[in-house]
Amino acid sequence: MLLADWGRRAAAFGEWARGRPFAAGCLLVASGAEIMLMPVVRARLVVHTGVGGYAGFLLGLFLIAMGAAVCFAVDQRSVIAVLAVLAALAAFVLTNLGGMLIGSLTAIVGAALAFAWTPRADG
Amino acid sequence: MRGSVRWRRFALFLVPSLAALAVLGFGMAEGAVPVSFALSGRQMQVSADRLSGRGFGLYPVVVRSANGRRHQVMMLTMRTAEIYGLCQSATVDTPLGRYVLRLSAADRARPAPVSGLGISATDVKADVDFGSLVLNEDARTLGSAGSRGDYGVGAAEFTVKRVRVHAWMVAGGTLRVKGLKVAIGRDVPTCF
Repeated sequence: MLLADWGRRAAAFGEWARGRPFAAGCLLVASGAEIMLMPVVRARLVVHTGVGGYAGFLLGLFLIAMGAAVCFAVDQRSVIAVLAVLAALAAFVLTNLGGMLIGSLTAIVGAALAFAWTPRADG
Repeated sequence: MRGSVRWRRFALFLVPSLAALAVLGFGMAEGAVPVSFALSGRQMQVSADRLSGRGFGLYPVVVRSANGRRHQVMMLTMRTAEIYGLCQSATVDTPLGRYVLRLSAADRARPAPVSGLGISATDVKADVDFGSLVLNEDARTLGSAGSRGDYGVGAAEFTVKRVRVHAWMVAGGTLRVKGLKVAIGRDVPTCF
């Protein structure tokens, strides 16, 4: 019974995810987390890291917020995509090459997916 | 409601975004865009052939590690400087093994200007030449991170050759490098 319940929930979640640019949101959240956490993870010392540290934290947080926003404010996806790309470019310059390029590239691909996502009237 | 990705629209957005990223990357490599790094918490190597500039300060600071232990390091600050043959490398433990990440200036004869640089180092090796040197200057007057009454070294002008530094972090400065080489790999050599 528990398994059937779980299956029904998974199906409902799948339906929910298909109704929005979910993959795009996930990529944006992942990129934000990468940019934000890269200087922190496995660090042996917590030190004052200057402008790069704060910028990375803020831009990472912003990208995570954009990832969530694209899932919950589907109509605003074009604007969100543009904002996310600007944040990704800013992160590239301001924070460790945008998480050593990985974060910035992930964010740009995610933003492009969000921008390209289109609802189907028939579905 | 369901939706799908329209791939032409995807390309329409992706291409200009990547172009903007490429322009920024190219600008950085040419030294037009200053790069800011905050590679914190990891011992790294910084070396340079020659470093000269104004406003040098050296004083002890204490940094606190994640496990609460305190570590004594030296804070090296410089207001403005020109660096020849800059190289920075750090070893990174990844799931794929130990990698070396190395940033270096491609052209050793061309200087990279820096300003407001702060390096916290555990050991420094260099040939130095100071102008207007003050030994035992109060650390507080050299920088806000220094504590009052600590020993410090200040100099108005300085030239340092064959610098070898083990550093915890390099922060708070701008750096313009023409022809920056970034390499990551298992067989990339460290700076020294």
